[in-house]
Amino acid sequence: MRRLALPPRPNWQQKVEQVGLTFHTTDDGKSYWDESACYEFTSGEVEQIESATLALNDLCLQAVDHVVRSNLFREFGIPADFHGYLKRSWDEDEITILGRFDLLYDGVNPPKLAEYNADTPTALVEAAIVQWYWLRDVSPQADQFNSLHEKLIDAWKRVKNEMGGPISFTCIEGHLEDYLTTTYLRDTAHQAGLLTQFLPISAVGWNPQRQRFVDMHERPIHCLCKLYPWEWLMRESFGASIPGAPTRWLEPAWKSLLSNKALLPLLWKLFPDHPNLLPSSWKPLAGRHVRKPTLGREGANITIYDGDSTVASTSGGYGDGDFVYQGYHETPRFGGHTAVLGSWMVNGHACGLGIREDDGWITTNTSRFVPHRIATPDTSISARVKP
Amino acid sequence: MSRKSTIVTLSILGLIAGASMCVCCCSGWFDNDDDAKKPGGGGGHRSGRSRFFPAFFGSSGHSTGHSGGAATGTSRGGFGSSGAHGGGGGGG
Repeated sequence: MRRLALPPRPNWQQKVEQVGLTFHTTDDGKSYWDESACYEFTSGEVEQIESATLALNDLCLQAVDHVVRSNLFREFGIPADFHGYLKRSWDEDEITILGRFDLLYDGVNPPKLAEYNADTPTALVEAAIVQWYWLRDVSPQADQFNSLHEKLIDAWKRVKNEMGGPISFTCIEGHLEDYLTTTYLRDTAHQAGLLTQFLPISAVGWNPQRQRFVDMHERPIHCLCKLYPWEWLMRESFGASIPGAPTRWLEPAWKSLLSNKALLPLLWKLFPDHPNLLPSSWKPLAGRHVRKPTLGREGANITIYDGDSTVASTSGGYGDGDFVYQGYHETPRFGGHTAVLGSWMVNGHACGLGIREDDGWITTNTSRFVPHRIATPDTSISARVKP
Repeated sequence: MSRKSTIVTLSILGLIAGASMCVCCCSGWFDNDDDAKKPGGGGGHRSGRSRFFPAFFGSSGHSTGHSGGAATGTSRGGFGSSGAHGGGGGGG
């Protein structure tokens, strides 16, 4: 695993916009999409990442089963009204489409799980599309750990066969990244032959007479694919209607257990010293460790401690709930930059990789997305940049 | 064995990226016989513009003006408040 500096494509902003990434630059003018570098992996390293991702996915499924069988929903802060619903969702093996493991990896030692974005993962457009087109332009003969697009279409074909359509897609209104991510998921469902529509989450209707969630045209919502966290849905005013309504949800309710960082101490308890896990607890750990909110996202409200001293911290809106503590693992640095790997699971396949890079200690929602490729003997990126 | 997608073709996202338009809540079901499947969402999308509403992003009111309300007994707005309070998106 190495970091290579290389010249960005001329008019790269226009090129990434054409394939859906309009939020390539942050509000303060810094590049979010950064193709002034790329990461290069050997095939063996990709196999190591793939194996770790599949192993972690297996551990997570065992952990969900343990929570359901042992009725540990309260540890995860699941409202009582949803305990039976989550159990049913799990027992009926409701379809899951995707999730993203965030891994700490240095190219040598086993990847370590930082967290699992199992419910509402983003950075999907970047990983599935934008870096694929980047590779096509810059190093077309090279390979990439990225069959996300094909696997997503396959996943929707499975949905079509097992559940049928149509599928409605939703997210918060007015949030560009979420909207484009949701639209990309919708795009792949459309390409799988499903009827689709988009509606903002605030436009979802509840008809108490029919006991149905309905769209703007009063049509029952058969299946709602959401980029909106379960913990928010459960606590909002329509949430109480979810368990009794026939609407199917994607991701399914059981994934809410995996997107909750209460998962981390449970995994460590169930599988202590597993090579892909870090020590985790509900209590502060000895030495350097990280405190994370159980229901935080995008690096908000993270604190790194060295004993009682604070090494680094981020602010955010998730500081009021529970916290877990995870052993600190030195984030690999490449050329002075920290890199966190987002390793994707789609429809049971480990099939994609996205890399977020930062100059600080903690990966946040403004950390740069840097593309990657798999090394081949004759790849020479700098010589192949197209005008 | 290649680990990358053989081809990446966009349809709906390509429409939006290529023409800055919204296939929004007003558009109803998206047809599957659409002919706009072009790599990278390239040309041809504007010709299909009349099929979609050129509303767009950041505008408010997507959830208003639709059928429903008192006449149907449907209420809306029961989801979405958490994002407004949190100030961010729902993704992570």
